[in-house]
Amino acid sequence: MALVSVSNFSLWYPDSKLPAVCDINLQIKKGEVTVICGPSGCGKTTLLTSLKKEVAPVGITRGEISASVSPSDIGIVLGDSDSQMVTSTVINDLAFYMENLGLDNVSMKRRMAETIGFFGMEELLYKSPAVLSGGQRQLAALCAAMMARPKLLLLDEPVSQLDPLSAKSFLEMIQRINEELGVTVVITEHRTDGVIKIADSIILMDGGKIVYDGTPGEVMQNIWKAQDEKNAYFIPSLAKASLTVSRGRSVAFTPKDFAKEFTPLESAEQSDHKAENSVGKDRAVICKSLLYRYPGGSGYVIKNLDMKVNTGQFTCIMGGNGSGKTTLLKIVAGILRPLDGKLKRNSEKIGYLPQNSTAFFIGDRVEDELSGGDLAYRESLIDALGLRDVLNRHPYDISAGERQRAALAAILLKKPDILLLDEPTKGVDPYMKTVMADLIKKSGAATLASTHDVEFAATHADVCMMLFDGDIAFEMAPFGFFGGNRYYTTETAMATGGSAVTYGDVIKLWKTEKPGFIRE
Amino acid sequence: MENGKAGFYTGIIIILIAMGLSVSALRHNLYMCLAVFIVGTVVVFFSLFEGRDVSAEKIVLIAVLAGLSSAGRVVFSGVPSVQPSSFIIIMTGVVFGPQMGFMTGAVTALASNLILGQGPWTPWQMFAWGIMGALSGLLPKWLGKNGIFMTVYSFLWGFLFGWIMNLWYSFGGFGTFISASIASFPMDLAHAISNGILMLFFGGLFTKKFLRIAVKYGLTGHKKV
Amino acid sequence: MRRNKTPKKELPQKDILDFRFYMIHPAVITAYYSGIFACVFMFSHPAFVALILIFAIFTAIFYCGKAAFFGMVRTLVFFGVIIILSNVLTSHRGVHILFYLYNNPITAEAAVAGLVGFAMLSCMLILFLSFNRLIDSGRFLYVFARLAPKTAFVTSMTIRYFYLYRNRAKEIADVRSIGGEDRGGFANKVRYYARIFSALVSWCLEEGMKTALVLKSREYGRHTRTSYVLYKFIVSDGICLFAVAALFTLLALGAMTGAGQYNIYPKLMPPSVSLRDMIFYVLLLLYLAIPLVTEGVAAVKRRMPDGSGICQ
Repeated sequence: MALVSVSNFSLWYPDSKLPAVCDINLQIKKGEVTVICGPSGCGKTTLLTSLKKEVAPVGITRGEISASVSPSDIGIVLGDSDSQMVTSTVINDLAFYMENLGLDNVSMKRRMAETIGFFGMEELLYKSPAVLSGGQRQLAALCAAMMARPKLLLLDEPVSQLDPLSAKSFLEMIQRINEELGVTVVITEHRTDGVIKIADSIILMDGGKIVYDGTPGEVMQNIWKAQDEKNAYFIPSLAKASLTVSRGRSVAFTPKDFAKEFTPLESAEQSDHKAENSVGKDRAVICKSLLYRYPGGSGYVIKNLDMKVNTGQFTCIMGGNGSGKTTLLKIVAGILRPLDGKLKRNSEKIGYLPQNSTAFFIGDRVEDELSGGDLAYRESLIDALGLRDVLNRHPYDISAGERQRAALAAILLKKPDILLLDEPTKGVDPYMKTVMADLIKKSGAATLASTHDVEFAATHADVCMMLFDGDIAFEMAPFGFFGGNRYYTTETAMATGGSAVTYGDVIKLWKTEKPGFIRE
Repeated sequence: MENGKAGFYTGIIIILIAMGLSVSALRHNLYMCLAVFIVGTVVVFFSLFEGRDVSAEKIVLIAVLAGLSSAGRVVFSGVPSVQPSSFIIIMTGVVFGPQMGFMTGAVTALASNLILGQGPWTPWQMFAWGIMGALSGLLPKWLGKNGIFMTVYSFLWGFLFGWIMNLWYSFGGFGTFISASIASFPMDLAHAISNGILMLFFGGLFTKKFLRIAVKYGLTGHKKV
Repeated sequence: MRRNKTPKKELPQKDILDFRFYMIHPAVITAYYSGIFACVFMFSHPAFVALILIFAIFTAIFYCGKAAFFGMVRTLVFFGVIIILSNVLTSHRGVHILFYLYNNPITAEAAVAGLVGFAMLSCMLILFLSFNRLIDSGRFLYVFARLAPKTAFVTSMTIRYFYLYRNRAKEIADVRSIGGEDRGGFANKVRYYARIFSALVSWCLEEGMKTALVLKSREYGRHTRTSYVLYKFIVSDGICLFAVAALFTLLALGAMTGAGQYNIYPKLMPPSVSLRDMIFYVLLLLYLAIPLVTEGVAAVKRRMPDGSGICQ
């Protein structure tokens, strides 16, 4: 039974000739989780917000959206977590929606009590949003939306700005809301990994049109059958591995499903545990016994940390939330001064990408940051990172992924010798991640990237470091690093017990061939 | 923003009545008259705001502007005595009208005091910044666009603001006020210079920014430039 | 990941939750303090002013610790000098002439008037120490929201934004500090910070649009609003409010009919003490003692061996 049906729906924004979405036909079935996927600017957010009258985009529409659910039964969580919380304490924010609905005090107390219990947010009630992590803020926004007891829940890129661990717990909450409370859910995302596991059906959009539609398995297999090079990036790595090995016959999304169906032909020889520090010989950054504590902070964030990074080496720093990755990058960048220890850099030409790339732009146009430097290099960066269309736009009007790419281009243009990147892949489409990694490597800079993105680190890094308890706990080449980890590793490694870490390893292990339309 | 002006004049009338009442009731106590006037003005403006249907965009805009003007002090902490609160409040009044100007100013004061700890000066500061925003909103269109005038105007507000703030502890009468103003002269001068500099060099830039937002938020503003 | 925290003051403060008076409904506490503030202006008799001042100092130390009170002494001295000096130098009323300064009479009356003014100001400033501790921003806004819901909401948003924007400004400045743009003379620095501020303004104004959408998505302004009851009004709040209202009404009536008044001018005289003054002095004492009585009753109840004080 369709809760919402969209028929021949198109929408034009006031100042644009091309429709943002075009001839959309779509059924959202009751009780299902529907995921709308597609690259930045494909019209998925326009489509999603069109489903709720209060936030529907202004423009000329054609076609029809009919819902068998009243507008007040539709809850929505919009975009990034900073703009979601509006008051100075969590509990005020949670009450805000119910107060607007004009509920009486007994119903408010009742909903508050049970919803907060469901979310396990008791500890956060009287905190200020400023001290919450991005993941906690996003959960609070979801909790606030659930206070109105929606029958249909719309989520606009809820996890694209979160680290994978927070994203996972957010999606688990969505799954519980769907399974236990029977709420129908529609999610937009620009990548499929993560959301695909909780999806009942998936819609892939491009250029305002629906290009694939069906169950996750169907859609992945259809892309595979069509040998669709462009959309192959939306196949998550385990699915890609299972499709390759089974030659398109079967698709697995979880390590469990994969391990059940596929056993490696032979176990791979474990590579030696020493980091093969083959890349570069000159030390670009040397840290010796660094010590750092925030003024007034409770403990030392960086404790006697030692680290070396070579010229041209692409190093990824991994570690849990609050393990000090950002602090370490800021120390190396010279933003924070260590309390003790030695920091040596072979160059003062440093490029730094902050965690929130919006902080990078201070001009009114993206182009303002992309001036000077080598003209040919500039053009090649703009083309490679797909920035041609956004050059004249305001940096705050473009998508988070575009902003991230533009900031990287601006940094690379200055030809830094040391490149410090804080979560460079946040909000970036799968295809562009590969492009970014290539450009970073080509620049020849000593690169230190803090990231939660295990797939990215496993595929592209030269060396991975684990930051724990204020120090580098261990460092290794990706294969040894992720192959040896049991929990903090790629899904491929989980599925194969560490004998394969990336898609490339799977191909080697099963002695099969990579289809031509798949690019690594 | 017809409403803003109508509201402002209603406000003036109510305040004058209140003043008349308080003068007759408290006869000789000038300080109490002033206090009634100050609190009365704030109450009148707030109740006008409460009584009206205010769109979500306007609510957010006031909060964002007040947030910027109270956080601005922290931004400029690298250069002592430069702080952009008054600059933002004057600009808000000029671009978005008296009602928005008053609310932004008063809320800036209230929020700052709630963060840093309140004192008896809270209502006076709310009044001082509020009336700064409201009066800036009442400036004729052509004056608001005149850079030189606005620079002088903002400069003068540095002192005016200081004087209003000196009133809160002038129980002792005019003498206290004069010596307080002498004591606060260096601070007021710094405030005035900082207002002047910001308005002279960045007034145009911020007008552009604010107008862009006015269009985006669907507030055409009381001044079309 | 970690945010920069402002250094915490290591004050040997007691946990505010240990005080029973803190658990009284914030609206009652606010009303109580408003009453004391009014009393400061209602009574001019030195004994009355002194009583309020002693009480203010006592509560400040009781609820906030000694360090908080002594931290304020410098501010008090500043105001003291200004008020007393200016009063003495500009007001030449009165008959008790102490000495002449450049042919201007310096009178004892003016000095005393300055002193009284200073005492009033000290009362206000010191009272705010304990008030700020008992009524923090969240509780203040809760009470304020009953009177002016929209304004309180906007203020709450502003406080949220203050912290958000402060962190953002830091992030923007961090990026720029790498290029060494923050160095240079005064003019350069102003230009540099203005650029950061201008970027911050754009960022936040643009993002405000999204927040407006969030408000609309939560149906802001579409229905008659209700408000969530965070603080229940219980019997002891009622008793407390009754005591506050009753005593304050009596005090106000007394002040209006001339109790607790003292005229310095035209001639400084020893303060008179009438029976009426004494009665209202006791009433004022009772009013000021409300928090102490609350703490005392709670302490006695807790100490009762069988808990009968609480479990009735």
